Amino acid sequence: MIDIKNVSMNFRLANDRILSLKEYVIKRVSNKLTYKHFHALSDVSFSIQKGEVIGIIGNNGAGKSTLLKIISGILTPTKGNVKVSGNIAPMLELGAGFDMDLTARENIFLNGAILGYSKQYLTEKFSEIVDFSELNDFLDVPIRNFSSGMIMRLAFSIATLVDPDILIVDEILSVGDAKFQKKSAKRMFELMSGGTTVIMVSHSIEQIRQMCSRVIWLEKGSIRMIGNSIEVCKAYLSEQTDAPSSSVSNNSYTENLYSPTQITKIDNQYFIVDCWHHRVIYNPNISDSISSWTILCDNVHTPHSIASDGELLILDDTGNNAVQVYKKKLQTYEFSQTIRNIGYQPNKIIYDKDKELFYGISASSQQLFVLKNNNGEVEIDNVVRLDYLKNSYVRSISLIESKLYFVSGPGEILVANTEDMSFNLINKYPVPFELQGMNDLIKIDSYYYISVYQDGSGNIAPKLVRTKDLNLLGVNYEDLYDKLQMKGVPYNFSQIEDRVYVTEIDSYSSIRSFKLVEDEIYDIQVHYNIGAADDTSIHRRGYS
Amino acid sequence: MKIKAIHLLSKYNFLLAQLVQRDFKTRYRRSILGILWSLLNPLLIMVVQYLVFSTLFRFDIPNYSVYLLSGIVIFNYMTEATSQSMTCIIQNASLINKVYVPKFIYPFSRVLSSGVNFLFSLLALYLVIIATGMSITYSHIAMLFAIACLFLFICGISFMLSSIMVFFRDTQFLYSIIITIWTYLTPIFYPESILPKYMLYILKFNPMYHFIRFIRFIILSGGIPDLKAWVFCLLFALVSFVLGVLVFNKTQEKFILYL
Repeated sequence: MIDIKNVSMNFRLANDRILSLKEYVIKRVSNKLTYKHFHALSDVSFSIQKGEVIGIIGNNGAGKSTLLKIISGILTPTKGNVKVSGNIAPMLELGAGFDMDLTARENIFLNGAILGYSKQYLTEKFSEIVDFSELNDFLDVPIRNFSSGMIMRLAFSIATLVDPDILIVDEILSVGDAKFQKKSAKRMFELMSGGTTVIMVSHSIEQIRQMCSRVIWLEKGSIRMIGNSIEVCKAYLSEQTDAPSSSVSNNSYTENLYSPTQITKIDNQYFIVDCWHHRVIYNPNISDSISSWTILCDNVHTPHSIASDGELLILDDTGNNAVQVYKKKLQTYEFSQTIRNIGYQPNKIIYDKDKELFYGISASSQQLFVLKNNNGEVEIDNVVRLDYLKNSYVRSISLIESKLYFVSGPGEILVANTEDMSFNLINKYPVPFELQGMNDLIKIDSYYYISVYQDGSGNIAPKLVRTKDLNLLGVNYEDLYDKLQMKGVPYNFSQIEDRVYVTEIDSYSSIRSFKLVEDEIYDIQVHYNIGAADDTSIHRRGYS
Repeated sequence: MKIKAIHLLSKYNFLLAQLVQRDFKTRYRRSILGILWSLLNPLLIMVVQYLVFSTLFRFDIPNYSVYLLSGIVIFNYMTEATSQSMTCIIQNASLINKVYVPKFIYPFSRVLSSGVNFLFSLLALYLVIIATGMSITYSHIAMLFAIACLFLFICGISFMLSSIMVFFRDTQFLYSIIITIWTYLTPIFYPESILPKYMLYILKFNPMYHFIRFIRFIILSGGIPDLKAWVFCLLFALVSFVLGVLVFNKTQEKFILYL
């Protein structure tokens, strides 16, 4: 898609920036005109495949912008070859390409024309752009009367709704209010999962690490490192924070958990998915200290869940848009497979004993994937995009009474049929605003238990509730958050033997459990009471 | 080269149309008279200059109002288009930094949008021609040739100015002085017969003199200009255009370093 070969870029710049003829003549005559040569890029080569999400990082002056300009054809390199196929849409900064005197309607066409789209194409996409930007009522108002947030929304909508082949994002902009930010992040994920190649430059390493599959680290005009986003970001960060991080004792994050998203028991081993530490650990005993647990893997990117059929372990590798497969070997587990092309950000995997199938949900692309164990080898049975999930971020699925429950993302709990594998929608339960950002749903005895991360506009508002009838969720539910003495965000439920386990994440990490006797909660225990993350954990997660 | 240019034009004609529309819409968006200004503007200038100069030159020039207006309309197109184009590259710096669009589009669109304006002024000119009872003959078709030459000439100057402007920002001040001198060196409101002989010689090197003379000859005498006039117009148009394209092409890759 993009092929860069031995590209170098030299500038010859006058020492003083002379921008007037008068000055130029004077300097020329008095022979004071000196130039310096500046190597913005030297011998850079790499190629980008269709659909990749590439991040470019580096300090100021490392050549990031120059590289972007060369890719988009604005600069011609001094040496080397650049091959780009497909149309490029840059995300323009506030107001560039807009005329303040023109109306929003006129600006959509002007801006679209500048980005290289035809009139016919823009007419087709027009209503979509308007709907997304939520500017229906202001279409014929000159944009000089718009707020900067409205202009940015318009710019974002134009750049992303026209399905560019290559999208260039220079410093991700926080566009509009919280709700629109969520929507635009979703749109970005959609583009990425829809095969758009994205090249982004950002100073926020966290953003790059979350969104990119590969990262290029530029230093003084050359490629310092290129590869897997976790590794490159880690190397980059460790160099950035050289002095302070060395004072912290080594690897102490391994003694803790940071946002454990699941605890489960497979055979005789307890497994903890230590999400924000990017690892999965296991131990036969739940009272040993975390540092003595065995590491299943620590090369994954924000894993959320693990499921097993007794022979294979399948683990979602959310940040890498893949799942990893492990095979049991005597008392240990051996890596066997990576499965890709299952959508964007696979967030939950469960096992269906009756059908002997694994189901998984890709949170950002609303794709359900079905995996099958074929004599020890995992095969993709089906990947289906479920339109009834709309564009919502669906964190989790649960299997209750042989039906598949999608937790609220689209403002409803949706129930699908697994009998004929059609996944047709068979039921839906409306969810009140404060419970819309759900983590998990489980049915134990006569109650449905629900954990909640955010409210309907994306603000973190943790809750743990239960109800006997999902139809009554909008009317009444029982709040268990305080009863269980929760402090962070309740995430996953699991039933292990006679206890119910809840993991607690984000601001406060812990694992709690309780017993249920005739729907009454007894014997609340805290197994790993970690609390807020320390520096090593935060560093491991990738925050700078 | 020629095929490439045609290909580019067809690929970018929607953008070009959008840019021209933009220029045109924003110019009069917030005025009540709107597009009527394009008609009124040259007429008002003509009226003022007519009142001032008609007493001076009344006896030398028949149909002085048409003589004056034709000069004003043609010269105005040149000054307006070139001054508008001069700043277009630096004004669109933020876009040029982000999106690849062939850069000639920017000055070219300004020449076109000023051209639309010019057509309205021409309309005003014809109104005056009809009002003064002059006859419109078939020879007016030859005007198209002069207008085409004028267009090429203006494109050339615009390309040159817009690229020089990127490197030397004081060009616009220099250019406004040049425009003033140029206005006085072109027989717009005075008859060339009042000039001394050596000035007539200098006048031969003024391209605007040839374009205006060509058009005036058609309007005022109703005839077709002689071959020499055609050759001069074409020559100046081509020289300017080729020079403009060469300068623009040679410098455009460096624009981005100076924006």
